[in-house]
Amino acid sequence: MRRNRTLVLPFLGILILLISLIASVSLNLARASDDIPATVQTCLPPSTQNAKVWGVVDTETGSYHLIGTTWTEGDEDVYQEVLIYLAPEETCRSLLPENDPVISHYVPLQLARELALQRYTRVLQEQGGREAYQQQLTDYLTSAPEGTRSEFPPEHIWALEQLGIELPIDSYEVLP
Amino acid sequence: MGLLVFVFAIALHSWLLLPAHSSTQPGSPVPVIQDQMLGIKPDWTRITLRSLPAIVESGSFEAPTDLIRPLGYDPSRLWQAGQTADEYLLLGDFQDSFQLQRFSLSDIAALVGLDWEALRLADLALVGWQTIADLVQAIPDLADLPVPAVPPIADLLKGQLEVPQTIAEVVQNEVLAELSLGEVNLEQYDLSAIPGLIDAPLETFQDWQQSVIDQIPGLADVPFANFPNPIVEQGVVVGMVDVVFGPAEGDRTNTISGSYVEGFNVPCEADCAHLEMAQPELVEGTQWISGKYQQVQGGRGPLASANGGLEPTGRHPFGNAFKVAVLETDEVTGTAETGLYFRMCVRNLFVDLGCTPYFIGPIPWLPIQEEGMLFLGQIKEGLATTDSAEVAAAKGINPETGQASSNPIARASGTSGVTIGTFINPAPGYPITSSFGYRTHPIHGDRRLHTGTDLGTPNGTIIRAADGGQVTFAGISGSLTSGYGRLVIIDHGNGAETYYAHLQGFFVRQGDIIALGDPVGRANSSGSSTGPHLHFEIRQNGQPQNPMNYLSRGPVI
Repeated sequence: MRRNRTLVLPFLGILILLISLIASVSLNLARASDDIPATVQTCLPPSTQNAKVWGVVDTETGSYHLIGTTWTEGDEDVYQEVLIYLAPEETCRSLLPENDPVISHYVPLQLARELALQRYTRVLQEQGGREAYQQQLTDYLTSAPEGTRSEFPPEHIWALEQLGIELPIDSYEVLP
Repeated sequence: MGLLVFVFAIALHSWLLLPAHSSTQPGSPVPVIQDQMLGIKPDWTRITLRSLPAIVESGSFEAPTDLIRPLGYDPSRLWQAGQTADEYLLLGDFQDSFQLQRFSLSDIAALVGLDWEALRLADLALVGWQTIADLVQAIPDLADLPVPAVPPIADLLKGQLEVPQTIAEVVQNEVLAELSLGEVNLEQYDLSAIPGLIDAPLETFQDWQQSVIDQIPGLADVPFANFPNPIVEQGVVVGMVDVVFGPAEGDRTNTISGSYVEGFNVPCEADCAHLEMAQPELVEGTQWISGKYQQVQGGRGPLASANGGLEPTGRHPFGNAFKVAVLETDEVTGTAETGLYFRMCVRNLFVDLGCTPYFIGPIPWLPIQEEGMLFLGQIKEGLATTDSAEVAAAKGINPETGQASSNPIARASGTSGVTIGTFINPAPGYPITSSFGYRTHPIHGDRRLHTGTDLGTPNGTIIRAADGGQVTFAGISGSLTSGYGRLVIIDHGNGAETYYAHLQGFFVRQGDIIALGDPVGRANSSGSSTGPHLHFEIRQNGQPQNPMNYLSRGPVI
């Protein structure tokens, strides 16, 4: 009986930890799914038709919102990820230039990583879990047309590693 | 069990995501907010002009007589080491920044609490230089009152041969209207002796600009966060200090320090003590030069000549009310001191003398250490640093937008016998469904170059050669479900090639010599494609180019 208890207690601890991590991630996702604040919306690209919140980080000097935006230009669907800073006095600024997706160029690395981690945590949830997404991403990276290798911001690579996602060697580049 | 997990998760989440708290950081001369991500920042809700550390150096400003005359008063000033900012700065110094003149006494009382009963009229020094006419200008309702209802005015009029009944009648008398309240002992009255005084904005009084901050009851104790135009961080860039260097350094050009006059990329030749920044990459490798060793041009208008026209090099992360300068640096400990510098500004309805350089200081400010975070304020997005326009242009960056300039490579005419040298649209009349350029994947988050232009061609559309040349490939690239699918490549000579991808079938074979406009295949959705379309590429020496830059010059679109 004593031996059984010895085995069960560590198992229970690990179980609680795992469930807690999942719950923590869910809390993040719940935040990320919140409606976009009206002030933040004013800083989205003006032609935005749909917007999806990938991540939100609050700091004492304002909040940072990583948002995927889509719109149509002629017959072309355009997708762009933007980083909006919302100041306490309800003013906002868009931080990422159109031609530079590297978040850590514009905010501290730790903050960039937190946003990226929220982003891919949500991707995993929406794409059917870690294994399903691993397969999907591997197929995507290894079937890229010649001369069109994927380029990832370094914080994205870090976030994928944290979530146990492996990227096929030589199938991508890390943006400087 | 569920409740336990939920509580644990919240605790874990809170631990992962940045608790921020306010404190007086050891070594910091002012209250700060500790933020897990952004380091420390001043707690403007607890910092006032009185609580700022005392100024370290004495100084003075003597106004030239030709400036005093048009102004109507002497703005000369003297400050002593050990004084606090409220003791030597005037309302006028902040009229464009904090706009303290918009406060009334009742506004201030609501923020800091004032013991009305203990206050005397003499405590509001500007009352002493108001004439009766000035006072009525500031508080128009006074005009309706009988003279005895305003005791200081009644006392001022004692001894006059004929005392009017109302204040309105007093100001109609040119001599009486110009009597100054400073002529009576204002210590004998409380603030209610002038009805409406506490509700009048300070800016309605004559020469309010001359009032020293501590001569406005309570104003010195109002937190910066509560000013009419509260202090606001300019921009959002927070940098990490990489290395602290001493004054032996020289020849530093990639700086982020300077002044409003010279810009914030002022190079340093010698004695360049500085902080070198680590991240974010926007400022990586840049230097914030010490203002203790480098002076730069500052100020504006006639007052710009004060202090020889110079001020310490630095930055304005919190706006234009004051400047932040790096002072002494210590390479051994990897630490640096910073200080604030104020300026004087003089402007009234009739004359604007501008502002002196920021030279009233230093006031000890937040200490800095290597690997510590430092609020930098505005850094222009998209530029590697705060480049000058010339440097940005040389780098191929538009200094206005921060975007890379596009400069398509001109294509030389081909020399192959059948090459015309201009490209036509291989499927004219069909809409562009995806342009050339980088695309971010909506799920994977990566960026990939879309190496061509997609045209929304239905299945079976005949695709024609954009120019004459030799077919170098007509087959499957990748597979029928991945990559280009069925692909034709034509070599036009001089390193120019065109690609026609996702085809259904071919009208040409490898080695064929074909002319401009010859059919090469029919459109389909083979390869990596979500629907029928033509993926059209133009490559120069193997490098994909934007087809639209070439087609636009062609004879047929």
